[in-house]
Amino acid sequence: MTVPTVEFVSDGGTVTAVTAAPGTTAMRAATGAGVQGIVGECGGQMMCSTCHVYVQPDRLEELPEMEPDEDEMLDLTAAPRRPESRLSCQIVLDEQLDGLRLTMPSHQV
Amino acid sequence: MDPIVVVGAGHAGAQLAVSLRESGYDGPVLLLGGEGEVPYQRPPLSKAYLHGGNASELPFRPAEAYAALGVDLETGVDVTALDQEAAAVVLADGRRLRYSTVVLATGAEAAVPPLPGTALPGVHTLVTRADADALSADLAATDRLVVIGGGVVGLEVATTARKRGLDVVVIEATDRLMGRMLGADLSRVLLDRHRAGGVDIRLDLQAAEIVAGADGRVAGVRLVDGVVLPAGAVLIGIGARPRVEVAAAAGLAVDGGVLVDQEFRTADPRVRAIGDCAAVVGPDGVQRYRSVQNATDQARRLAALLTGALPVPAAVPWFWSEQAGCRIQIAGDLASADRYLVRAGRRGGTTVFGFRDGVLVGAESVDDAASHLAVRTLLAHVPPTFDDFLDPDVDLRDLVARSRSATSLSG
Ligand SMILES: Cc1cc2nc3c(=O)[nH]c(=O)nc-3n(C[C@H](O)[C@H](O)[C@H](O)COP(=O)(O)OP(=O)(O)OC[C@H]3O[C@@H](n4cnc5c(N)ncnc54)[C@H](O)[C@@H]3O)c2cc1C
Ligand code: FES
Repeated sequence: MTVPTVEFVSDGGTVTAVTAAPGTTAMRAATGAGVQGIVGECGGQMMCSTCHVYVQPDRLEELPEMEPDEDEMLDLTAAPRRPESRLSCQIVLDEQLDGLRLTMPSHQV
Repeated sequence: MDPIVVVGAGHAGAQLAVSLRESGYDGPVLLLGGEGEVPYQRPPLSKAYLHGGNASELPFRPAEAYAALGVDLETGVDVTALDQEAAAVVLADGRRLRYSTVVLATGAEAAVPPLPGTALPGVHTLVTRADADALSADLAATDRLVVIGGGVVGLEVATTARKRGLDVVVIEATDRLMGRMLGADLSRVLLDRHRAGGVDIRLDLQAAEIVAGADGRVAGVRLVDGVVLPAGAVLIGIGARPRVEVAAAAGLAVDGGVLVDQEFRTADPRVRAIGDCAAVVGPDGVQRYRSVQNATDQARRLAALLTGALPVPAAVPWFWSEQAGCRIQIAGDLASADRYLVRAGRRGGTTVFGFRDGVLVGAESVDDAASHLAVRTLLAHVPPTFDDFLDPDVDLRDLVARSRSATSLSG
């Protein structure tokens, strides 16, 4: 089984590739690897919206559809929402998502 | 060069170590943790982790990540004293380690009422992962839990224990739940939800004694009216007490927390304190917060202060809890409000907005994360007035957009 790798792109363009155990969320993969730019204050409970990311647009539809709660919270993130905005604590990584590129906004809080 | 020594490797201490690096500090950092574990998150201890969650989900980051950041992490070491003259911390094993600055991030411990029986086997408090493991083992061995105290931790544990199939009774001395944090409206919503979930909540009632059975373990809780509630396990959740022993022994001022100025300095500028153990003296009095947001926010601000990085403005205080199937979120300073307005969220849920002199100062929500987030943004920019809310159809997102652009125009 492939271990999924995610690329986190900072607002300044620095790319950090992180390998994650399948079933881990992108938020946990980032914070666990010490990637700056994802805060994840609430630990993934969909309470804080400090794990906002922009998903690479051509792979957006591979992600599970967002719940209404996530949709509402994305209207109120610290950095502007875009069509490809998601909360990274709601992105569960599996081998299908291998190589996914997530760009982080300039600020989360 | 002597290191910045951080005493306590919880939410505040671990964040400080990381933020020092993020702020560009490249000197030595020593992070000392009293527990024998890699720094971990506390909120799941009463929620997902207690329900059978995975221990590997608890740490903020793996141990190697601290090494990669050049942070010396030592766990299982208790700091017992400060030697301010020598600028050294004294450890329980006798070592003395010098510091350039020492930061107390020692958190809080559970308060225990002066009742007979609190030391019996089967009686628990919940602050650490070890506490959660011990409580979890006892929940597995009994079908009756009594919770003393209707505050956050007690009610979260009550919820989890119900999910695990136990009969749960919560006894609360005052006439409402979470009285220190929530207003009367949401407190009542919460009471109904807990009762609907099968938690037996008894208000206006006090425990007199925790009683033992023939086997020497806890068998029940005797109330002031003489009734004995049977229990195979008891959780005491009557609040937390900041851990100030080290500061107090060093002669530093303590009053419900280590007293610090707005730059987290004690009277000795080389000794600072942040997180649950700190009480910040500001123009509006002494502020004591106990939340993840406060711990991490103070850590970020202190890192910026110690490194001379761009100052981080204080964030809007916020707190969350999950219980009885609802998400409770509190933002700002509702206690200072003189006028309230209750609104339904767009997708169910309720938010109570609080205003002081006509201006928004805080809000509390049940199941209304969007309104909560909106309020946090509004408070961080130009808060709207009571009149802005008079139109029942006003969309908070429009207020947020307006408030943001007002800030950028003036800033
Ligand atoms: C069960 C539970 C659930 C919670 N749920 C929520 C929630 O849903 N939302 C929320 O916002 N907040 C919640 N909180 C509160 C939140 O966890 C705290 O506000 C936060 O952990 C405070 O961070 P801190 O770093 O100040 O203290 P802590 O995270 O408690 O860390 C302090 C650390 O210092 C160590 N220490 C103490 N003294 C010494 C010493 N002398 N030497 C060495 N080490 C020492 C302690 O062992 C501890 O590891 C919860 C707390 C608990 C206990
Ligand atoms: S980590 Fe808080 S919403 Fe994702």
